[in-house]
Amino acid sequence: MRCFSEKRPKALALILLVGLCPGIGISQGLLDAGFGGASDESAAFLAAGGRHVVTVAVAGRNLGAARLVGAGVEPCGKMADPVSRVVVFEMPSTMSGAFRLAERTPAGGLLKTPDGKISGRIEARVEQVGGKFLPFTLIQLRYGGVPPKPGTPLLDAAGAVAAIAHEASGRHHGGYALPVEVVHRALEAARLGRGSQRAWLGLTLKPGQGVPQVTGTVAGSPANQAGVIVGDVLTEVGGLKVADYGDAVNAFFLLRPGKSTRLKLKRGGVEKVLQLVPAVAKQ
Amino acid sequence: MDDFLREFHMRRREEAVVEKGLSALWSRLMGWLSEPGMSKWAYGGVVAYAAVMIAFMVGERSLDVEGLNTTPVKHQIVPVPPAVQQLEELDLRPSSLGSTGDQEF
Repeated sequence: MRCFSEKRPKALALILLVGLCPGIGISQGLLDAGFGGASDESAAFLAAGGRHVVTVAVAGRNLGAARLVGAGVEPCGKMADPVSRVVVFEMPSTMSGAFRLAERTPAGGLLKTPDGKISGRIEARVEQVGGKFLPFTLIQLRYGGVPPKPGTPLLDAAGAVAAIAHEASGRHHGGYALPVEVVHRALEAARLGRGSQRAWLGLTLKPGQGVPQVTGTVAGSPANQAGVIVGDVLTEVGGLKVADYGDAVNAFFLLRPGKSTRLKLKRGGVEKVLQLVPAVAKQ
Repeated sequence: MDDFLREFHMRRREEAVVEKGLSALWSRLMGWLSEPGMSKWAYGGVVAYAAVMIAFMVGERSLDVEGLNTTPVKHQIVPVPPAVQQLEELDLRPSSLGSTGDQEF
């Protein structure tokens, strides 16, 4: 995702116009995103650096039709991750009012919407919904009232974005949220112009197994070349402890292609540490 | 003596009548069977089939099964665990489908 330089003068003029017209533009770093339908809006927010606006398309929304609503400024680029369904818009210039992002989502505690009207307590990390493993771990919250609109940034006690509100969970005032690690991943992909590339190690796991035990490796893959063999039990991937299949899936999702990664595993009761560089997964 | 003779002759006549009737019936049956045509074979087949079935049913009913000892077989119904799906993309709808079996990362 790269903004073309020839668009810059036009975009700058638009920004100037926005600045002169009160009521138009990004207020307090918040705005809305639409997906082509009449009532399918999500909230969006300006992320750290002031160049990227982040939103999320919940299931059923047309990811390809994502657009900013009422921003006053047209984004000059867009990156939509089909797995997390996070959409990152690149703005033509740095804008004020950006939200700072926390490094990690806390294990517990209270998260609040930017206006402070809705707060939710982190109750659990969710790896499965309806008997299906998610492609990464979600956060489950219990709000004090009606859950906020999907895409709403949820701030920790320090005022940094720790998660993004997602769908309601069906429980009373319950809701899911995307952890901030997923937002970091999407933002990095957008900044590097990498799109929605996913890391690939070339090993297989079985979802039904209790422990993340390797069931196979692809010949010539990063895992195979690093020495991973069938029967190895993963204990840590990319700095994240993994105790079961869901943990491993989440850790694999957060890996970056081309970035050296440490893999800890147990082989016959003996712990081994391997270093490998994930490749780009085939789409 | 006269009574005895009268009774003897009467019995002889009755026996003769019975013998004559049976032989007449037999001769009529033989004659019918010797006649050309397929219908009689069909009738004969039906009668034979009916006789066999009656014999079979009567024989079946006479079997004594009460004395048979049955051995209970131990069994346990083990529910098959549903195949766990791995979603390719974040989709919380109940209808969403993923993939099962070994997953490659």
